[in-house]
Amino acid sequence: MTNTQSARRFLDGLTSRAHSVGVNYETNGLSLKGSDIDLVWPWETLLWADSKALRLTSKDMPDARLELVVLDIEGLVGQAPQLADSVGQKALIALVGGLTVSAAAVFALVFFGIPAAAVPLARATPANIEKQLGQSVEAQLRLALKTCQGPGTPGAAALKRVGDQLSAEADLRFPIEIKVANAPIINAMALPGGTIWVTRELIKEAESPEELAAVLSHEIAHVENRDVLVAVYRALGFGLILDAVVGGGSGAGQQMVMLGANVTDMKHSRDVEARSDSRGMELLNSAGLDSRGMAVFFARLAKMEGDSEITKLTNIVSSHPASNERATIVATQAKAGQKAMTPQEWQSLRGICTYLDKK
Amino acid sequence: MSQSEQGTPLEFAQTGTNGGFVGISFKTWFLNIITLTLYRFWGRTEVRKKIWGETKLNGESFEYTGRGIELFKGFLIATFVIVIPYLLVVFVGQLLPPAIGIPLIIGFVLFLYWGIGAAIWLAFRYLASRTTWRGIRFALNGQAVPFTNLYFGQLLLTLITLGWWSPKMDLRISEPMWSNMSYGNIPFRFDMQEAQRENLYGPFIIAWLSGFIGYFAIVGASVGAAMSGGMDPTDPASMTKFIGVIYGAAFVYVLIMLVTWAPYQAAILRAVVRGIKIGDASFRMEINWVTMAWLGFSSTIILIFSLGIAAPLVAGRSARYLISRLKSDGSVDLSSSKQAERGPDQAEGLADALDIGLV
Repeated sequence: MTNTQSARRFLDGLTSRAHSVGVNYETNGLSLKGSDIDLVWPWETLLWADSKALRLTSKDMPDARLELVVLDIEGLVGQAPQLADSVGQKALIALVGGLTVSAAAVFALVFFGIPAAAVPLARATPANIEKQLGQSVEAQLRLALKTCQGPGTPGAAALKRVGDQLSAEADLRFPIEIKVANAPIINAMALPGGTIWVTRELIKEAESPEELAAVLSHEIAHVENRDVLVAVYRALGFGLILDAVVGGGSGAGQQMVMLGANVTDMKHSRDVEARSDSRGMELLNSAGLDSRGMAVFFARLAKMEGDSEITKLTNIVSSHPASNERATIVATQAKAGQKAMTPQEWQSLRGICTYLDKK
Repeated sequence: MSQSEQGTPLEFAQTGTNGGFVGISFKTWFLNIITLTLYRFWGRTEVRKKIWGETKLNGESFEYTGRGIELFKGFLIATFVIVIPYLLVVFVGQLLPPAIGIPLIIGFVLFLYWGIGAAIWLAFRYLASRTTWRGIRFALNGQAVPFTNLYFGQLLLTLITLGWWSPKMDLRISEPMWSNMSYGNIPFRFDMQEAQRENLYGPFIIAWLSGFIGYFAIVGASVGAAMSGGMDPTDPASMTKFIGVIYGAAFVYVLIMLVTWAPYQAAILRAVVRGIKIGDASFRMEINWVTMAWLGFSSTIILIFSLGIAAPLVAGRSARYLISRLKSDGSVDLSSSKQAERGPDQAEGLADALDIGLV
């Protein structure tokens, strides 16, 4: 494009009618002249609307388009150097730099911020709120599972007594209430607010009341430390990050963040589980109960898990430490002591759910 | 000008190639990873710019004028208006007595379902306002609220008829979307009677039945795998196998659904396109279920095996498939349209938050 008039197609952004304009360099900018067009686009206002299609526009008329040919570019860039960066390289680098810094901040939040904030937040939460949350969680669990009632039976009384003995030395904000759930899997869980559920299957698999007492001591340690509430806050924080920041993103990136959150979560849970084992042993010992049951119980779990390659693999990403490792560690704290229950009480407790089978 | 006064026939073309999307796919994927997917708004914008630019009407390309920052702003707004309130309501709802908490959560979820229509309308309005041809914008005129109410009502009807209303719904929501659309100041119309000439319920029966039977088949397969495989929650090997069976069944289910839903998807697209008019021009979508099924099938395979990296490629292929089969009869004078309003400067956050898929 020189000062000879070269006809180019021009769309003014006001109507869809295309104009043919002569384009000339002026000192102050690019002049466009046609049958009913006469305007000058100052050099500094020029920018690409689409550099591949060679469509030029001006900040003064962002809807207008001037359609150029390849030959025009060199001369134009001489007058308006901003057009040299045809793909917006600089803007892209600045954008990606800014976004990467934001991403690093989000990452730090997931790995350090949320885990660090969850514990003090849980400590600061009033006990009645945790209790309320626990009731709501329990109501949801009850939709799927029944708890076995045995008021007045020796087993139920013994279960309550063991719970009270173990709680005596613990620093608790809520009274402990232990319930047996009619579920066919081995599990025990502390709900928010001091309620502990143990499954019928766990009682069946435990071979002595001392093993059950060990499981209960572990769960009471969770209650004491408000671990469940901490986990709720962490899940809430991760959920916020995942749903809000990464939600709807491309598959691979989203998976990466989820994996990151999971790994931190798992690592954290394993620390918490190990600490609860140890604190549970302290509670057993200070209650004067025989604390050798925990190692025995974990050793049995380890045997049930087997020693396959898959087990070893899953242990790396599991929320609980491997059972055989746990057995070895707690064995160092184990002491002889009182029996947790009499044989009659134990027998009665093991049968606490049988009335449900008859229905 | 004599020809344009009488109007011109419309001819569409799509000039993109698969190879042209390889670079942009890798670039978007890489930038998504290092920015924890925050780049996705700019990536989506770049893909649209490319697709729009390669879509031609009478030899002149469309232009997408949206910006990544607009999508990013929309996302931030939705995070504060939808995502955070949602997490808070769900959390606080659990702490409140069930008589207050449950209605609160249900009410909020209903509100979100009501919001789907608004999200679709606003996203469609944004896309229209950022699509230009010959420098003139498309525009979705009219109000979001009536559409939102219509959409919600149709959604409820579809729900209570177990899906059987959905062909009617698909047409009824298309009507306001197209009868409020304009190119500059030239209005589109939607001819419902013309759209209804397409046979929708024949293909829909195939789709509905296959979905219904397929759903029970997949549940049956999972339960069967659990029973016969001797699923044991304490044995990771059997659990891995079980999860593998479920994922395998889900994958097969998705592929079958892609084929059995293709006739309906092709039919509803043909019906909607048939209803759209501008000036004396009408449109036809020359697609059938075989090519539609192949598009869905191959897209799914590409997405899975590229781990989502090739999403831009899939978007490009889909656009090419549709545009190259879009035909028009009659003519319209598009040469004298006046410019339309610019539209909002943030967008699609609501649609993203509610997980509504867009281009």
